[in-house]
Parts: sequence; C-alpha cells; structure tokens
Amino acid sequence: MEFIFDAVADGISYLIEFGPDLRGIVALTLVVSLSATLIGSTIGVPTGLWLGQARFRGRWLIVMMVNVGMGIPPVLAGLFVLLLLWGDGPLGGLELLFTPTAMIIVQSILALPIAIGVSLAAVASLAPAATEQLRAFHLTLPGRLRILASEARVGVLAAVAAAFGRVIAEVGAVLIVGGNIAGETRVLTTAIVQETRQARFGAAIALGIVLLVLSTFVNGGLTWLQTRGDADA
Amino acid sequence: MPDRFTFDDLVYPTDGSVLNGVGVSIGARESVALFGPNGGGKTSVMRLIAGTVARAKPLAEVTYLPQTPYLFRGTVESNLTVGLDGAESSDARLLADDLEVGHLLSRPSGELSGGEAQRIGLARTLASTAPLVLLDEPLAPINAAGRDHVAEIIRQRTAERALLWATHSVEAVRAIAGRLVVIDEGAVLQEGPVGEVLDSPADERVATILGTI
Repeated sequence: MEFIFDAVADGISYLIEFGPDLRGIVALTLVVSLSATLIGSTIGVPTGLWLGQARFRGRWLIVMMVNVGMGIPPVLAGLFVLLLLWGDGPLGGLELLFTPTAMIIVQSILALPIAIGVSLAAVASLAPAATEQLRAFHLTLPGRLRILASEARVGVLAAVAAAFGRVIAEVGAVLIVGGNIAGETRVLTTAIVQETRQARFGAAIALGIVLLVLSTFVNGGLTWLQTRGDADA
Repeated sequence: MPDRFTFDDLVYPTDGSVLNGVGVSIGARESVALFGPNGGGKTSVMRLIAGTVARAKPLAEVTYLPQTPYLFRGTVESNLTVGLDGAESSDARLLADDLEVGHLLSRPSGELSGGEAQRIGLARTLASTAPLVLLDEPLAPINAAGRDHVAEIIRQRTAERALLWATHSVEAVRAIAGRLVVIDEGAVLQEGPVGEVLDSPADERVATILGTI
C-alpha cells in the first residue's frame, strides 16, 4: 500500500511544479482535442440534424454507417490514417505523419460519427407535431437546420460533449499517427501510457488528474449551456 | 394563380390503407370543408397537398396550419414570422392583434396556452400570401366564446383565396364553407354545396356522420 501513497505524493509534487513538459502536454492535448471536436461537430451536427429529418431511399444505409462509425475501434482509424499518410501512401507527400495535424485528422474522423449520430437521435426524438410544423413552414435547408439546432439544443450539446469525450480519452489512434514524441506529439493519454510503462506512477497520476480536470471543465461548460437553455425555454 | 386547385387520386400510404384514390378540387376563391370522423383521412389529405408526409413535396403553393399547434423555442414573435417575408411579417403582427394575441409577442413561446398557440399559428398561416390555404381543425383548440370571431377572421382573410379546411363543426361549416366534402375511411362519400349536402345526405352513413360528429 505504501507505494500508492508515495506515488500520490509524487504526483502532487509533479502537479505543483507544473513544469514546461507538463504545460506542453496539456497545451497540445487541448489543441488536438478541441480542434478535432470543433471539426467533427461543425460537419457532424448539421449532417446529423439534416439526416434526422430527411426521408429518402437508402437513408437507412447512411444511418447504419454512422452507427458503425460510432463504434469503430480507434486503433483501426489510426491504422487507416497512418496508411494514408505513410511516405509511400496516397497522402504521404504531405509529410504529416507524426505531427499534431495527423492527430487532429484521426481524432476528427473519430469525433465525426459521434456528432452525427447523437444529433440525429436528438432530432428523431422531437415531438411529431414539431416535425409536422417544421415541414409545414416550407423553409430552406439552412432555415430548417437553424430551428432544429435550437429545438434539439440539449441533444446537440450532448453530441458535442460526446465527441469531445471520445477524443480527449483516446489513446490508440493518436499513438499510431502521432508517435508519442516528447515535446512534439505527446498528449495526456499517451504520456500516461509512457509513464505507466516506466513505472513512474507519480507522474502518471498527475497526468491523470489533469486529464480528469480538463474533461470535467469542458463537459461542465457544455452542461451549463444545456441547463441554461432549459431555463430560457 | 390557377382558376382551380385540383388534386386527383390521392393515395396514402402507398398501399392506400389510409387514403385510397381521393380527389379534391377547390376553386381559386372557394372555401371547401373536409368533414368526417377522426381517422377518416382528412388530415392525410391536408398533409399530402402540403407535402409534409415523408418523401413528399407540396402539390401547390400552399400555406398550411397543422392540426396540433406547435411553437418552437424562442419568442412568440419569432414563431409568428418564421419563413415570412417583411410584408407578410407585418401582416402577421396585425393578424395577431386581430386574433387577440398581439400582446403576447415578446413572451417565451413555452408560456402560451394551446388556444393562444393556435391563434399565433393561424396568424402566421393566414399572413402568408400563398394562393391555397390549408387549415386542419383550425377552431378546435379555440375556446367556444372566441370561435365566431376567429371564424370570421378566417373567412375575411381567405375570401380572395382558395381555402381547404378540415372540421368537426357543422356550425363552422355553415359559417365559412361554400362547399362540403364528406370523407370517411379514406374515400369521399359525398360532396356539394353546403346546404345541399346538409339537407340531403346521400345515404344513411353520410347522415350519421353529419348528424353525430
């Protein structure tokens, strides 16, 4: 048991020190996770809102693909992006492998189906009278999406929160395409793996606490927005 | 604007289990009431013409008030003017005053009663300049004391347009409609001028529908 107390004490020291290494890891984690959430949500939420109210032949196939995408193992997404960006791969000339950009790309791919799927479910759960009224307005697509985003705001914010939750907790894909290079592509999750492997539990605990605080902070903000929306309604 | 709006062979859904080849025709300045029991097909006729059923487009340029009034999140005014141009929005505010809900426009939409929401929906629908007006049970959520007034506004604001509306009320039919279409089980049972249909039902089934609903 004693080693746990020692590890916690080490972790607290590490946190209090909050040195340049840790600051760099936190900053990169935020940049990668927030960028991927922003990209995934910007594309995924409108797509999900549209897909939630659209009715066309073959819609079920797209919905099924979204659902499959929501459950895709991150390491597979990582492998896919790695092959694309590999030196001899189709996008190898861009020389993006083992850079933060590659990490943002793979995280965006993981965030996208979550943002689509949760937004789609939010629209599908609206009252039938709301759907009927919206169709009766005969609005343009942007007009419809604007009303849907407002009406399904709780679900839309849940979509953003779920996308962020997936990317900030993700380790396999960013490890594959980022390489966990110290000072360049190391983020909180890959750093925790690294420190744990080397039995530096204090540092791993400190990184874990920072990860938890970041996640709580962002999700807390989104929850506040959801609750405020309820109060305004 | 066409002289008549004619919709032939309305089928819904594809197997015709709700509507089986119903045809409806409305003159450019005519008021036609769809009359029949719940589940008889009135709302499906409205939805097909308005294009609100799945995979459908409007069959004409219409303005449509669905059966259940629904206000979206925001102010009452934002719901009143959604999708309307500037002139129509101004007209919708005047109509809201006429329908005695003009004082509610700055309130959050969730604070309105069903009857108030219906009046806002009616104001928006009637303010649109579309040549065909579709109203599904427009008077049902309105309290009895206000029905004559609301019916009169509907009559005034649709006098120069085609109006197709669904109703359960014989009184409202006499007040607003020029022609009556009796519909049940997805088929038209009888149609003609209001007085003629009410005074001479085609058969016992029509008489029962007209007399008991």
